Amino acid sequence: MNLRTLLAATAAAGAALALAGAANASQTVATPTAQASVTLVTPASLTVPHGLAFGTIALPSTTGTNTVSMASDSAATQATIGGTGSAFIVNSSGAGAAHFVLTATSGEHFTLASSLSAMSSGSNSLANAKALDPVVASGASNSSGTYTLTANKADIYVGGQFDVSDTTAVGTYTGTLTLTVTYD
Amino acid sequence: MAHPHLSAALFAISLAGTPSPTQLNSSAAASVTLTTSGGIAVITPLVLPSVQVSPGSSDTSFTTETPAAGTGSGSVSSNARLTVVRDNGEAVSVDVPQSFDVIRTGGGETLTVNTVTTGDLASNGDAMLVGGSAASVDIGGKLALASANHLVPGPYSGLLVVVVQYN
Repeated sequence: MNLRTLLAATAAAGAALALAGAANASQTVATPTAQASVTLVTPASLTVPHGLAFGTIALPSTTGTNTVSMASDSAATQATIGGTGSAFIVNSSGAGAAHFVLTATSGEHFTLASSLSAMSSGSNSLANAKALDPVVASGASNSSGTYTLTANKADIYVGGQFDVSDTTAVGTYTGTLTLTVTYD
Repeated sequence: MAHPHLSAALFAISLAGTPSPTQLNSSAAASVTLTTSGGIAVITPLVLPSVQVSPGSSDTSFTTETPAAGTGSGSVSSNARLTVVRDNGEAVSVDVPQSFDVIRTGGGETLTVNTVTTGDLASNGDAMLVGGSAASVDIGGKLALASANHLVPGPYSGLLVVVVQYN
């Protein structure tokens, strides 16, 4: 219920009280009416259909460092490898950027931020692990980093990256990728 | 005419009722598996099924994952499956023996298992790997059993040695 409606309802209630006073005096009955309105909005929520997965990467066999990246892209199905080392992709089954689904009311404005905790395997951690900037694939327009929902749902993708070398320990590394949506 | 103080109060209520939260957070798992740049992973061993040979029956045989007639109930067989890790384009050959022996546990009787190899191997038979960085090779077992051979019941086991050469 917006401000204008509330004020109108208050005025109507005041009129009703006045009429009731008159009814006591003249023994007549009045039945006042007032408009009621409500605006329904979509409850805001953020769900995660799938996480960030890099697949299986073979470490460099000689000196040199590689940066393993997964783009913030819905179409990214395998990591890219840059740098001077000889790392390569062994298996990309299930690999892809993290997918978040923001459900809210069309027209709302928001900004996005992402972070990646340390990716660790036992006592080992990956060097320079970080999240990449989020990318909205659908459902919102972007104006200098401030997004506006153009639907009641937006698909957001977040990738990440880390460095490996020939001294990186083998193993399965896991971490936590966090997306924060802040409403203006 | 609305009272000034009443209008201010209603405005405050309207703001408090704004449905959207100021901030939403959600977390997703991030994962990667790092492995060495070369190597062989044994995904499954070669498991031969239990086989029953009835007196007077003809030869009983089985091939690869699916046991043929004459196998005992409840046994689960599988091919040996190997994953060979290599850099893209790296020439790698795989040498699988044509056969190997299994020996009865607690005895000396042997049976010869013939191998059947499939997977990411060149079709010209030169044993070179094809496929990607993680090539897969399946090795099945085949042997012929006959009741006339006076087989000694019991578990048989052996060692299948596969040589992978990085050229």
